[in-house]
Amino acid sequence: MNSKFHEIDPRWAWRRYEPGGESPWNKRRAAHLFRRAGFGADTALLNEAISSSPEELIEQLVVGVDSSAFTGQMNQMMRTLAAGNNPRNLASGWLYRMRYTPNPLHEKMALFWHGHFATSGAKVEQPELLLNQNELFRRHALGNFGQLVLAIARDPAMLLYLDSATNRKSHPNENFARELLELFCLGLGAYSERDIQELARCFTGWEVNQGKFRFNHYQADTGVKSIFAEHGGFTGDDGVRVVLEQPATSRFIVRKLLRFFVADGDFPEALVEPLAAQFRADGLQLAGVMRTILGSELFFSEQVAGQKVRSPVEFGIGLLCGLDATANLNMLAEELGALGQSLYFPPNVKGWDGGKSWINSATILGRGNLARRLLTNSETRFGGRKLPEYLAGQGVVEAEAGLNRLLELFVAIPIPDSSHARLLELARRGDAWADVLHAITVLPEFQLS
Amino acid sequence: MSARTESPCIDRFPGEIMSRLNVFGSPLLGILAALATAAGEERKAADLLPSTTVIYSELPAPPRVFDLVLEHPLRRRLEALDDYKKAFETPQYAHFQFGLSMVEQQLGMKWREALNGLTEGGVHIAIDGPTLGTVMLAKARDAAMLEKAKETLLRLVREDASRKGESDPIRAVEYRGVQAYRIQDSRFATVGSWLVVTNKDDLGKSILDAWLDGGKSPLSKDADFVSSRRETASGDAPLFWTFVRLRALRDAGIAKELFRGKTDNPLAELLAGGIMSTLRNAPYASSAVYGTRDRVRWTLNLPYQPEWVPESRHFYLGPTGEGTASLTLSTPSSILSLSTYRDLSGLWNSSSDLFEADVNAKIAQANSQLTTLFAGRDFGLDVLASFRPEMQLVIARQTFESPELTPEIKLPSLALVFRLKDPEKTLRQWKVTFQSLIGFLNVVGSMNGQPPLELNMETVDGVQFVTAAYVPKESKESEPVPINFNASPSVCFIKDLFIVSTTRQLAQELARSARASGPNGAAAAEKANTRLQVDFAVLKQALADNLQHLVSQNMIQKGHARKDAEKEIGTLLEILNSARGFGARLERQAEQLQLSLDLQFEP
Repeated sequence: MNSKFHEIDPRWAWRRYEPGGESPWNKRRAAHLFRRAGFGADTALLNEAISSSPEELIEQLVVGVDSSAFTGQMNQMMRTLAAGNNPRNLASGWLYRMRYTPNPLHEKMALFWHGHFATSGAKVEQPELLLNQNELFRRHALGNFGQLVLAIARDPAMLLYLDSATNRKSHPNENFARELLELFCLGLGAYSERDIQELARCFTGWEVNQGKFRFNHYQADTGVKSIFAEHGGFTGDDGVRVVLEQPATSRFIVRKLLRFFVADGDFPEALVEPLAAQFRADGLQLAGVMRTILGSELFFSEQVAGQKVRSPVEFGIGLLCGLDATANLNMLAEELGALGQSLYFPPNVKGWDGGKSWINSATILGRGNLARRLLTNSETRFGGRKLPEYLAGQGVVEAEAGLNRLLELFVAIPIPDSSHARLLELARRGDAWADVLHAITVLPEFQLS
Repeated sequence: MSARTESPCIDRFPGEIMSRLNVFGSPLLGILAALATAAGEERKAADLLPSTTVIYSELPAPPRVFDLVLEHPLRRRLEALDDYKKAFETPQYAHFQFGLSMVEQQLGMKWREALNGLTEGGVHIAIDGPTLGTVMLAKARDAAMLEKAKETLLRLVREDASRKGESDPIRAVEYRGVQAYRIQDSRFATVGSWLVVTNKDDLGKSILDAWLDGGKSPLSKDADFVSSRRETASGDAPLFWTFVRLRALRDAGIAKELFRGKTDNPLAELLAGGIMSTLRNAPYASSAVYGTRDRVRWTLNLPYQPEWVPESRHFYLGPTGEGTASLTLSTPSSILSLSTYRDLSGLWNSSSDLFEADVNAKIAQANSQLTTLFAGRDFGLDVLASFRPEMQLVIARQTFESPELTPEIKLPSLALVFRLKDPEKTLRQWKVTFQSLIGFLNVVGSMNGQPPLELNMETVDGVQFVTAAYVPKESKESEPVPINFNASPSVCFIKDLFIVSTTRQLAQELARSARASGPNGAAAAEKANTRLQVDFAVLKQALADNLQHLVSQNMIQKGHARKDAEKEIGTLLEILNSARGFGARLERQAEQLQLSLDLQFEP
């Protein structure tokens, strides 16, 4: 647990961030917002961001902009990628989406849900099913969590992944019921074995046939069930409702959101409960609680800066976004897999552990190599140009000023003087900005968001 | 640098030279010098090179090549590509352009005019065996132009060194009255209108000796060289011609992999095994490039003797080296057609002589499994032995009748055509094997959630077809059609031909071609051992069928927006429009084996 969070006053933490004094609204804070609520921002976007208030920006991120044209293009692309009948082809398409989406927060939420409702192409080999599930996450990204859970409970990819393609009343399949309670809604310890068994009875008759959800009424157990002290002839939808009504649900989801968007590690109950209460009061609507989190004093405070380890996706796409770069995304998808994050292939039903688990001696080396490859590959373009010309256009010319611009863009926390001196020496060599950028990406501080 | 007189125009004004030499009281010497100069100018490059030359290449008329490349319509299409443009927007290219404009200014002419003039008589490159020296000989339009270029180059190099604060990098030496220069490891000299550049003193001296005195044992009189010249003398003059003394390379242990006995690549053996045997024995090889605006052709000629090919490789050219590719089925939708003579049974059964141990182990395992599939008939001795050596591979564009059953990715069809030795005996065996295969695919496919294949038999115009087609889902919803639906595996039997195809459509088209092509299902016998033909118009259609997929891949690989990706793919398809087709041919002509590749452009 982040011990310093114990000392934080929840009323201050979730109060709306008011720029000023020791906490001005500047490019550093704008970069922090885009890193956490999306995948990063380049200089142009940061310049534009500081001309708006943080509240306006966050509202735009939460509500989103009209993306029908982009969505149409992406649907066409993903359809052709799925046509090859290999789920491994999908990752590069999603990376393209993350890089170019006009709604980065929605895309980041889709990534969050992908890790939360983990489903792997290693078992669900039909790309269309994985794509449909991914669309589900996007559709409900900042919508109603209850609706999302109901939809996931019928999602063929999820049911196949959890071996719940059939669920007969004579032998109720407990897999999905267990994961619904433990991993998706309540967390460990908030239910009993009996709750699992009774919930499993609710889902009897829920099947997947030829890649589609089907309700087989012959196999449905219509008897009375008892779940969390509620009794009734519950159907699957009723079972989900009962689970969602548990206060533990709101706390569990809020904790996960805080861990994904605010800081690695756990949060004290005192910080979680106000948001959980808001979440419940909003009827489990996600937009409101996300507005509160992203627009809070805590989010923009120094206590949170650098408190998250960048995931491989955030590392790779963040570098591209920060430099307005285009790169070979097939290559990137493969490299991100080697760093521990293969999109559409989470390691198990718990998804990715995140945090410090992203970092070990092999992945640190791998990150540096990936950055070098992205920066020097002949297919990579920066704003449509080569790196030196792009950086010159961004005012990264003189050694010290240029270095400071890059650090402001990419690094969440101050770096030691010795690291700064080393980078400056490199920057002074002239024509070595690719080396400088590479050196930045291997800093310990760069691994933190 | 020039022969040591005060006038650069030796070959133009011998009288002037004589008059100057008279000043020194050596009229006889003057006559001899003039004669030597005139004789030198008459010599060809092969007259100047020693017979120990191992590799010799020549561009007899470089200006013709420059015109062809720089004025070709294909170049204009390439210029429309972003990648092409970006290559010319780099600082390095700008630096090069600046340097080039400086040189043009010094020479007083544009670079192309200069290049044409300096190489008008040809460019020749050679590698000498004993000295391991490399030499380039270029003959200019005239000595005056060459002299001017030389002086310009020397001046520019010296000015550049001076600007950098370095010492003069050029060292002048003299050999038999010829001024030569050395810059780092290169030596060069101009004699008459010849430029000689080499990295070895001995080689340079021998060339100058030959220019002055006539070579004692020049390459032009070497028996192998003369033979190879004769072999490519007929027909159009080549743009580029190369002679390689294979015997010398083999003796020196160069490219051992190429000449060694066994291979670990069965496909390479199938495609090139017979050529490899020839390369291991032929004393030399020659290659030529011919070109016009409509066509570029490359040929490789090798002397050939049937006894050079061991029995294990008789599968390739036949026991007497006269195996021909007699199957010539065609279809308008054909993208690629490869007709060849290959005795597959011979290849399979000779595997222990042809392949490395690990490949043989895999072949043994495959033989065992395939024997099971073919109901106990040995794959090598029985199954493959039922085919005659003539076979044909056809890859064709597929069209789909029903939009509801058209897959997102449209794959081409592929078919193999064999000639059966005893159709009546083997036809039933092949039918049964095909049925077993479909059954096997259905069992495995259903375990992986794939749709089943439905088996059908039909006789159309006396031709028996056994076909299989994927059964579509009974879903009212519009869903993407899986990639599997590209396939409708089919076999058919017509006369002595056995056609195996990934689609019913291609099987039917080839059957129609077989019916139309004569009593034995083949056109009049061809001379070629192997024939390949690619139709770029159909290839372009097949690619256009998958435009969305190509655009998506472009977006992902280059990060383009859809509009930019469509433009780039469109340009690439337009470039494909420039080419009409590609052909390859392997043919035995008397005591020669010739491999030719042919690229045809649209006019």
